[in-house]
Amino acid sequence: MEINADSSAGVAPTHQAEPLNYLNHKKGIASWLFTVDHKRIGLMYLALIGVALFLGGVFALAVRTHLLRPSDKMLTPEQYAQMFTLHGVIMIFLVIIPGIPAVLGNFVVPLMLGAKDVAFPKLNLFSWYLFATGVVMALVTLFTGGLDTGWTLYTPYSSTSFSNVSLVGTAAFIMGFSSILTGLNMMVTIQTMRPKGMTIFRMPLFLWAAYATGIIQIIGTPVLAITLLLLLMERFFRVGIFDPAMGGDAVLFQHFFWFYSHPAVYIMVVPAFGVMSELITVHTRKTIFGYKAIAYSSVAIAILSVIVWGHHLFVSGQTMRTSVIFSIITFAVAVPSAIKVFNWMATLYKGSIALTTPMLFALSFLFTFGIGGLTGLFCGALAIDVHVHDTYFVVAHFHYTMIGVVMVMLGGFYHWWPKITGKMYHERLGQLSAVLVFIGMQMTFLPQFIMGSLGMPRRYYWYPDEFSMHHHISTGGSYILAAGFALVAFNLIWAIFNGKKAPANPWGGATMEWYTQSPPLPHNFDSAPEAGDPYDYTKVHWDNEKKEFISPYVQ
Amino acid sequence: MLNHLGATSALLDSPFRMLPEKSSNFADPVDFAFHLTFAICAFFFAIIVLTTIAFVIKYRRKPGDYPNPKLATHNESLELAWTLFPSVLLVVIFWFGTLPFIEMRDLPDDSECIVIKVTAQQFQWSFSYNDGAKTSSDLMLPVNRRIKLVMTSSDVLHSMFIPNFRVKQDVVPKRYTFLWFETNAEEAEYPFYCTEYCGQLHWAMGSLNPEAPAKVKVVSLDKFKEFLTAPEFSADDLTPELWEEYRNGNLEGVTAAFPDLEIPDLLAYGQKLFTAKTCNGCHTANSDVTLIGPGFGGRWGKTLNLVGGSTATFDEEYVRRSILEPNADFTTEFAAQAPDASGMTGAMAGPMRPSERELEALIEYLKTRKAE
Ligand code: HEC
Ligand SMILES: [Cu+2]
Ligand SMILES: [Cu+2]
Repeated sequence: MEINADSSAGVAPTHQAEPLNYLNHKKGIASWLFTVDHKRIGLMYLALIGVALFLGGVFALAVRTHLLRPSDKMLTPEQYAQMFTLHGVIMIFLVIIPGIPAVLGNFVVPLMLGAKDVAFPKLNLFSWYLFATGVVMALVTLFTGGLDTGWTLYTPYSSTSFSNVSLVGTAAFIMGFSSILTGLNMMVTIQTMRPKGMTIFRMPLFLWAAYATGIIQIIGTPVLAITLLLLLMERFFRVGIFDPAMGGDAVLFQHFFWFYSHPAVYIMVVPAFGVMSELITVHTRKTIFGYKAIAYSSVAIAILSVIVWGHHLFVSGQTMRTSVIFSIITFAVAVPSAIKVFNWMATLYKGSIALTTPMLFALSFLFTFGIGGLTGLFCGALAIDVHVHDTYFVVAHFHYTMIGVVMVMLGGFYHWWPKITGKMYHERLGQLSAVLVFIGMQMTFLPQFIMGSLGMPRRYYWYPDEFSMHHHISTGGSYILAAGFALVAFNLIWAIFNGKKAPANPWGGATMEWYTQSPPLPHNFDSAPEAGDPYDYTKVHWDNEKKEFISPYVQ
Repeated sequence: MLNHLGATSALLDSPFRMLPEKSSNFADPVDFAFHLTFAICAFFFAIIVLTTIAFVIKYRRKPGDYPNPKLATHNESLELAWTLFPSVLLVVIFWFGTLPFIEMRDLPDDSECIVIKVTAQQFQWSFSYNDGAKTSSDLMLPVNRRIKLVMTSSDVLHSMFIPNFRVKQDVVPKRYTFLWFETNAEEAEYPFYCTEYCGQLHWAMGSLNPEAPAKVKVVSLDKFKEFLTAPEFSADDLTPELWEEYRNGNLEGVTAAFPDLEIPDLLAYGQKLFTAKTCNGCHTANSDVTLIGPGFGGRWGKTLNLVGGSTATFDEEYVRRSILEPNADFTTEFAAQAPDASGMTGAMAGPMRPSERELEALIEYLKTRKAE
């Protein structure tokens, strides 16, 4: 292997003469903070997101533990409101929205393209700094009044709340730009940097998903920015926009908010669809079933997602006709989602299914997201939504979709971890973590459907006795879920220090990130590989002597 | 047809209860839609789970076996089938979900129903009947009647949710929103809740209020009429002599003068006024927790630091002035609101402003509050 060491003045010859890679070619904190390498930036996102996930998880556990026996008053009503609000804000804006697009998107997209970096590497670093600023501001909020409005920030409560709405609003505003710029970067990268042979219908599905996500980020996020700006104007300059006491319209905020926040659901879910498609084919060694259907349905979802926001407003006072129209479009989005699920199932047919950790997470996603999607039909059906709106039913519904996304994200981390770190994680522990997350998830949220449809409202500090059993099971489940997450973190970190050395292509994948060494070279590939069918496993052979997969272009 | 299918959903109801008891005209169609959707979802979920598990078992990789399969990449008729079939079922769900909704939103004329005005505020509901002739914090309803709620909020968003009736509607400041339904034949009490987050005590708004849980009370028509016409004790109706007796703790004369009224003593009267005048929306009585204004538990006799550097004692004079002129003094805790942003100003300007006699009862009540 030939390595061009010109630019890396500080090349550190490592003790075991480890081959040069993006992790060891430069050392020191500055080499990370000023890097424009998409792989390192991806990891820096991961570091921030890991911290955020931990905090968001702790807050969730505080809420669940309080609800074990509210009469103990473990939290005051104020602390309780703070906990569920910050849990929501952190998990959505700091963990799930950036999770797959910023971590895996950054790391994997250029590699899948056989490219050296994203289209705008410096802009990419700038996006990270925007995100980091947002994270720091959100953390500062914790110590400066907190936030007690719910993550939805509904006006006029948020226009007048004494908690630190302004700081969180500014943080989300800044992070929005990070999201827009990352989306833009991904779209341009995919649009302009595809290698020879990669027509759009030969793109790995993760690239389709990254592209579709970029579209939603660019259309939706500016509206969030505008909304937050208006809210800040109202709070600072008392311009009456949303607060009726100042001549504003309270419900207008909800339209603005959901115009972004419904698509945001798909900013979270579409990348997960992409990862899911990769996991399923690689770990069954079978070409994806219905490539075009999956690809097109990502785009269809991306477009439809921008015109369904009104389904959050069925009881807001919106007119009946408007609600009926939004209900129709909402049911229309169900179709492309269902198509994807069936395609993944068909991919399993006659495959060679390996129950590796990533595959277990993928299967968990199929069930969990299946329930999340199907219960969405209850919420989309007008008269049923009137009953379940703002109850635990809805809480359970969106946690099924969101934690579904997190499952795929974790599966993706496991799947690409050998590539990212050059080390293998512990397979048995990994499988155990997947099982814990799955069981914990079901136990936490299945009872919430039932209490919700029985009439238990959400964001409640207290509950009627009839729901004690449901709440107890749910809290028990949340501890198992937390243990599952902790085990994932442990396993991934353990791998860095103690894991076996990873081969270039541990799973026998056919997409191009597996063509380079693990961890990849600083500039990914020595010569641009030529792309073929990303799911043609006939070209990746198992070499029984070397005990590893041989890809056609391994460098 | 709906009725016939309603019977089926009643069957589903018993062992796997997923919905509260049905107590209004909307319960049947909503529950039908719910159970139908449930059945369709269960069907699909069963397909997904069973097929996946079957595939995973059947096609599990054998150790060391890495086949190079070249298999079907798509199948148009299969894909068409799994697009069209769910689509048809989606239309069905949409249909049965929309029908009852259209009815819910099709408001009956005022002449065909009993109109009740609902005002929501942090953290209390108040219901007003017969154009304000009668108010209550429980929602009183007669059996077998068509009811229309005309709702508004005096501060932030709230939402009226009565699970047993399957109705819910947000309540918006400076706007009216509506709910209508028909009560069933049974007399019963039901819980109701606020389901739009409205602040830290959002949960205490309605049936979970720890001090005074409010209920939906469905009563016979006679009892309802009685409730509407029942006179209530008001200190302002007393002659000066009787008032003098009453405030000194002698209830005999008053009881004799108003034989069909229940006469509270001054302290109990103050407690009642604390709710009736909506003070409890902003103040806790028995704790020192600040809602919008300070909590009164244990506050009596304390020395307060005022904006501007002076101090005051929390006593009769101070309380009287705070209520009648909310902008007169601000303690340093509320410095941010000075000089005139007090939430109380608006609240005390209208019909909620206590009379002199009511003030005395309120003071009597505040005097005796302890922090829990
Ligand atoms: C809309 C909310 C609101 C309502 C309703 C309300 N208050 Fe207040 N109250 C406040 C606020 C805010 C303050 C503190 C600012 C100030 O001093 O005006 C306050 C202050 C007070 C104080 C002075 C407390 C102190 O230690 O400084 C008293 C006494 C008081 N309220 C009594 C009442 C009574 C009695 C009622 C019912 C008749 C009532 N309030 C209704 C918001 C309210
Ligand atoms: Cu939505
Ligand atoms: Cu409320």
